[in-house]
Amino acid sequence: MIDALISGLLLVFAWPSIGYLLLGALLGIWIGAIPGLGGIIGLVMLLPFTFGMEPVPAMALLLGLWTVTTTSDTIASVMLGIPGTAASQATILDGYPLAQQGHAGRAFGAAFTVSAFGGVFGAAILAVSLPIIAPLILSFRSPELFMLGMLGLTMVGTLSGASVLKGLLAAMLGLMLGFIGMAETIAEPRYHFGTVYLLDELPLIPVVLGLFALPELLDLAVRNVSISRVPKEQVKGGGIFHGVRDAFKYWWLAIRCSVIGTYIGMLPGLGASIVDWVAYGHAVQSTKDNPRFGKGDIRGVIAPEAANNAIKGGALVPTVAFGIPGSLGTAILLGALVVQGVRPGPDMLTDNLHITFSLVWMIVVANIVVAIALIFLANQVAKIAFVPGHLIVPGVVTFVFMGSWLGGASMGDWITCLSMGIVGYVMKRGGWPRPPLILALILGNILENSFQISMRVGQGWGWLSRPIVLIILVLIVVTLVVAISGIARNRQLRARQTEPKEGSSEGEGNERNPLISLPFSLLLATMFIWAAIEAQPWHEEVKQFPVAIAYPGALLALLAVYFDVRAVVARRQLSEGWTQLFKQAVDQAMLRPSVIFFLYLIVMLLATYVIGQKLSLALFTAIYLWRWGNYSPGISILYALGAWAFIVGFYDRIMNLLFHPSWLQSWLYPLLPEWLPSYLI
Amino acid sequence: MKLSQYTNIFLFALTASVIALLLPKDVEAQHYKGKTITVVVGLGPSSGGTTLARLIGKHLSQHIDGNPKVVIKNMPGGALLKAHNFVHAKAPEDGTVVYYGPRQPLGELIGMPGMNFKYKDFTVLGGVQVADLVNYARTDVLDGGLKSGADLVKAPSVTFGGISPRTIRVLVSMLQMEMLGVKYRLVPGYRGSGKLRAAVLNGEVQMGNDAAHAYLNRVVPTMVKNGTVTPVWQIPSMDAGGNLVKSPLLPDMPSFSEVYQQVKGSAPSGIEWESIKNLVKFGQTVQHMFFGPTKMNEKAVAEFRKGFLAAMNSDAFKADAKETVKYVPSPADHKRASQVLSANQETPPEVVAYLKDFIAKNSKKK
Repeated sequence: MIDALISGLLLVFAWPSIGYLLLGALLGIWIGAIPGLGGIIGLVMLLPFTFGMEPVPAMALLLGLWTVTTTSDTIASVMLGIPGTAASQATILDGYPLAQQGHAGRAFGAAFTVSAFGGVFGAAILAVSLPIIAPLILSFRSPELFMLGMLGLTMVGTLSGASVLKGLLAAMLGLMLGFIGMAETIAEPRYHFGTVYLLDELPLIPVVLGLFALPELLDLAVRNVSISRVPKEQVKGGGIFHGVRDAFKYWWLAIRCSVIGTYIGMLPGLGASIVDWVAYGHAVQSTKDNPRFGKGDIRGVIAPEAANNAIKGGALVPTVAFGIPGSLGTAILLGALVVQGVRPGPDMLTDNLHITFSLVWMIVVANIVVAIALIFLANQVAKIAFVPGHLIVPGVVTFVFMGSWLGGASMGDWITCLSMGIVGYVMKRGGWPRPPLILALILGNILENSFQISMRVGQGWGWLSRPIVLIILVLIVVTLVVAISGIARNRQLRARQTEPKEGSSEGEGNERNPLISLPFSLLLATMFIWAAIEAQPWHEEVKQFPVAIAYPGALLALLAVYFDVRAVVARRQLSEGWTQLFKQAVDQAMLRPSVIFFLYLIVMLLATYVIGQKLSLALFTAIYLWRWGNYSPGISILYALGAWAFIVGFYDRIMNLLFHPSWLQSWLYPLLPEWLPSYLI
Repeated sequence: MKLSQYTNIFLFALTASVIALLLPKDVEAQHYKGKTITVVVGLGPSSGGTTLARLIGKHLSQHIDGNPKVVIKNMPGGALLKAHNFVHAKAPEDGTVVYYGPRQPLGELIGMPGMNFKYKDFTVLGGVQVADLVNYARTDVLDGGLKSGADLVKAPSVTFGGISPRTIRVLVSMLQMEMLGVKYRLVPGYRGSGKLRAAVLNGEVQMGNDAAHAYLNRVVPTMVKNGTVTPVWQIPSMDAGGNLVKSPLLPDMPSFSEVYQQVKGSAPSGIEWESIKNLVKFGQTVQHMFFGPTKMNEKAVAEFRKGFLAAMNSDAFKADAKETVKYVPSPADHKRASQVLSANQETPPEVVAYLKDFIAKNSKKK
């Protein structure tokens, strides 16, 4: 085994493997940092180049990229409040508030350090557990997966902020959104409104980008502030090495979350989208001393970042040992291995053990090199936090919408992103926590699918008596007890404190604006009732889950309506009249400029049908800077040209994206001279 | 400069322009010169079909006149309909966006929501016969171990995993087990072959199926070699003469007909068998196709069809395919592909009625 370990190391450091590994890592930094891209798209882009290469250099290129995207994705999560990849969703909850306080450098220092640690930890587990982990992996079937999903759902309590009721309802909304599309077992479409786009489940990336990114961009646009609300000269501490020290200070949390990441990675079916939420939930539940989660607690960065790198090593265990890819990323890597003539299976633990260990070393080297590189780059990146917000908004809007476009190349993705942006704005301003919605959206399908399979295989509820199911059941009960006691403790704390400030944006779901919340509660109640009625004619299996969520959802939503009405009436008694009350609520929610901002985006979306994406995004950039940001026409046009050149150069020429065919293209293409490339519009 | 000089220059320019317009353009000789062909694949990026698309794309570029750049764009979703609808409704007519991958002939036959087109509306460019299917089962379904497909009838019960009873590969296998009298139960809901393989490996279900090359590359090393599963039979494709043809990758593995003969002592027949043959005819034969929008530029069509066959028949492609996907998929020209594409419309009404009934019956919970 030691021989294989050393042989594996020598394989990685042999030329050209090490060169490809570093090239892959370099590309991974870039791909992870751009919202919406991520490891899978990077792998898809690189895969064709590996055809014809030797196995080790080919895997070095791919693993170098895949490994580090969850390190560099922290940049967008911290700086912009936008998840760089699906694996860093939870990082925004505390990473972005830290950037707003001028402490982006600290967040980076901690995140990059624990990312490297988590990555190396996951790789080490991969190395030592390969020969012994088989029974655990093989004992995980659909019942265990279902229970694991339920355990994930219990995190809703810890992610709910001030109102558990709203957290539960947000989770139920997420579950209902997860039921859109073809039911897995019978292939009967649900809630698709006759559109092909909704025959599938809602894609995660446009939902996440819309829900989290657009409301933050709106804030920058409306308040005209930089990301850091604190001027640069007033920021004290919070540098890179402060963050590195934090990582060492909270080493025990980093280890625990790395273990969580590694084991979730090993168990096929859950994947990277969920691991950061579980790790974050664990950090919230296990922290007793002075928690400030959601308001810039460094532990809220450390937990997800350790876990989302550790998952990679864990995910490779079943992939190489059994040919079972636990996620899309590992499925692509498995395909690459087969293309290279390396067949997964027991041979990887015997004849090909040196290749297996070379994969381990690739993860280790890439993680360490990239973490060091990013720590030295982070000070420069952190300066973005002090750039005026108006200069950030159009560039990030471009990334957000192009990021949404990448997965499906459908205008439906843009409509989803924009719609979820509006929902995100209402939820943020109305005190509705958004993380439970995402958590439930990810878990909804996993839960339903694994439940249906469990019932079919076991022909009843017998699967509930499986040993691991019972162990997870106990964990669920313990988690619920801890969550309930935590909620009770927080309530007592809040009761002792004075009423929170009007419009206070500290922490997810902590704003109080019942006049904004009320229409959303009403909408939810109506939606749940409609969803239950709509489901009635479906097959029993197809309607089982939607109906089970819709009825209690409607009841809880009506309860939320009652609380919102009560809160409105209470505020009415404190104000001088309905007019003043409405004016206060509208001002507090920045409703008027927000509506205008969304109108800008709606017009951009509609313009896309006419002039295409490349021009509509550039036009949005120019008009936004000129009309909203009050920049000179020259600067506005220059910026817009830069945005257009980036879309054409990167998304069209390098990524070969398929753009929406616009009316202008169909009309103009035949008239263009031969020498003028048609990809320019 | 005198006026006459201006006139001369003008006349010279005019003559040159007219000559330039009258001369045959190089770009007309080679429609795809300087262009990019985007191949929309209705499958996910990790699928075997996408790997094949990338491989074919690489060689298409070298064999289509003008050597266009060929890029692969995955557009999975809506049970292939998203990609189909895109090429049908949004692809430009100049042949720069075409579809590659599997089809939904069963959906067209029995009706499917979201299918806003007929397959006959597409311009067929060519087809690819990819590897045939293999059914495999855990050896522990039978006390003493399952040795062959014929033994399956002795098993007290078999749980068969699959994507959905509305997919051809699941339907065919179910009908085959019905014919043999295997006591089986369908467990649908596995998203793709990878999930199904995992379920068979950990014993959640006892039987599944896979494409022959995936079986050889992924099932054999992880499950066959250690005796966890054994192949039971293969599902052949159909040639132009209507004969069932076994996979060249698995010449020694029995076909379903052979297993049936062994168990029942006669050749298969009846409505189930007719249904299987029809499903194989339009679903398991020339499984992947290239097609473009309805009114695709004629020159583009001709150049694509010619380049496609040249690419697939080239030695370089065959060598690359052997190395990359471990087998050589065979091409079907556009005539054969069109024949297969419209074969679902020739299905006898009694078979359609039987299939509809069978699917409805198996969509209910068991």
